[in-house]
Amino acid sequence: MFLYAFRLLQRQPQRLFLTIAAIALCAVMMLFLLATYRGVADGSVDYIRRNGCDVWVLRQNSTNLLRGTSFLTAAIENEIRSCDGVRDAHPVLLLLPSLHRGAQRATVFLAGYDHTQRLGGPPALFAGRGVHSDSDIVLDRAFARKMEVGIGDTVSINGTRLTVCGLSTGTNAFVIQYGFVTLARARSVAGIPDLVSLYLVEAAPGAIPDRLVRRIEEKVPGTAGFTDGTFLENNLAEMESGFLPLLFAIAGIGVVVMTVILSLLLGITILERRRDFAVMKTLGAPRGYLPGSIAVYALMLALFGIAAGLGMFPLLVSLVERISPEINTVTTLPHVLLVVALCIVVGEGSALLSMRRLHSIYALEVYQ
Amino acid sequence: MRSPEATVFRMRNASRNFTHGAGVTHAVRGATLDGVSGEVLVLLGPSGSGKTTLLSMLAGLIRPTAGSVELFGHDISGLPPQALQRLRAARMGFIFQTFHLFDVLKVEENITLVQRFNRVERAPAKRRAKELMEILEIDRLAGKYPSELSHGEKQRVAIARAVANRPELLLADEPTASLEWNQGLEVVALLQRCAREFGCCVVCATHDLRMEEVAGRVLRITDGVLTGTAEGAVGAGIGSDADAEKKRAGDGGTIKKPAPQDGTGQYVRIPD
Repeated sequence: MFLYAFRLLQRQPQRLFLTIAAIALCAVMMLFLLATYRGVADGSVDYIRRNGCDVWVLRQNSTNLLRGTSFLTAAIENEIRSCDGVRDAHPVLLLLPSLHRGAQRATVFLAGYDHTQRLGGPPALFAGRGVHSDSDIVLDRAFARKMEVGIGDTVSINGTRLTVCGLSTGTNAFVIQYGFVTLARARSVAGIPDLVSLYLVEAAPGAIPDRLVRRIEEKVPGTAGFTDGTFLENNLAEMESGFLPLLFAIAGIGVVVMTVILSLLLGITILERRRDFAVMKTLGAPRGYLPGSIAVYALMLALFGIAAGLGMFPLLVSLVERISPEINTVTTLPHVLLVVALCIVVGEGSALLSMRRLHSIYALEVYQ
Repeated sequence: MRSPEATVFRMRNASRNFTHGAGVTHAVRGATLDGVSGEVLVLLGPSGSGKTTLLSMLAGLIRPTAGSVELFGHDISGLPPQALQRLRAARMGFIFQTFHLFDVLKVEENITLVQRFNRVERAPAKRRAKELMEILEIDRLAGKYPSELSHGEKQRVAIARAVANRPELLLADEPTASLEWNQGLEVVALLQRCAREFGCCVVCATHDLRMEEVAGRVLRITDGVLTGTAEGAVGAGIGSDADAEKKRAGDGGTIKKPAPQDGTGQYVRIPD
């Protein structure tokens, strides 16, 4: 059955090419969605994951950074610091202003932080240096590429000119990218003095973060505290609830399209090779030979399609990154294996759907 | 070489009807016929006379609606489809008017595939294919696809495929109908050789009167009824069970030829 299936593929090169291309595109689409998901999932929370604080303190009812608003006053900073078990607290102000460069404009997730402290700044620098003065700004690397700015270039926010002093990584949250300025600059952009979005709290040696959270919430009413792990989970859940359904819907469409394409192709192939199958039945082909041939044919198509898809994928990723640098993709082996398995399952599922046609082929047809 | 006397099939009062709506077509009516190994049995009849239905019953593709058909000692009515499939793969060979080669497979692969159906391992199947291609002088075509062959070459490949599993029964449906005169003669000779050298019983449904030359027995079928010349009817084992018994007791090896029927429109006479 391998030989017949292989020759069938070989003798229809045009159809083989088109089918493989269709499967490859479906596989690439699924791979790309998964890689984007991984990239977004990592990029969205990298700032949180790599910040290094023990407790996040926000306005009560705020649970995450991605889809929440938190405003606190600078007045509570000392109250937090004075809590038992707190080593230090670092204010961060998060804003969503427009950043201009000439005629270009884009929204940036601007984080104002105490640049003299360790926490609150960019998690990693790709190039340049961190913020040293109120006229400095560190931009996410993808954002900078999108805006076509480099180190030393000038951008403006609310009419304030800022010099790009560094490019950061781990700060691309797909729909928005981070920028970093001093806390004072962020406050001047907001136009409200003493405004803070959250505090990053470092625990004293031996302090248990869970207990620290309770103590801060008791001592500073109107605040919500989260341990680093809980806050990370909150943000991941928020990201997934907004992004994953869309991803699954698109991936689902890809699976359905691939199933339909393969089922149609297999159905047409069975109809076209009807005479061959009738002859095989007459010549005494074992019971499983005909369905086996279809299954092998579908498997070969799926595998060739996957191979072509895996070959095309790096090219597509590099193309997309060129066109839309903010799209950050991370390809993992489990995701590749998942797509391979899915393509095989879809291939064999389509074969199963098509095999029903074999029942309507009769050996007697050879005498017609 | 098998014993020339071995009975390959036995058909007793076999009838086959086809119903379509309220109508019934009597494709074969009360056919009684035996086939022994090593003989060429020719079924002559016009289109729609029931030749193909008779062949289909002998192949176990359809069961008789009345009477019985025994293949290799098994009544096909009692055999499950899988058993019939195994019989066809292992003990029967088929030749068709339009060759029915697998056009996506090469010549050698066509011959090998039927052996794989019979669970022959790949290496011996290839050896057998090579051997047959040499015998039938088509070894130079081994790597070609059927679409690259002439009709005569295709029928040689079809014959090689048909005898690949050393069948005891070879069923040929109009094997010369798609061929030119010379190619038809070659095929006729090859079928005779199959019976003589491979010892199989060749049943050949045809319009081609040349087949009479090589036939051990010639039977005619008209409107589903097997008939023949006066001597042929008895000698060929056509007719009742008693007739068949007489045939087996008498001169079973005598070649009986029917009188040619020129101008009747029933048979095609191929010009010299």
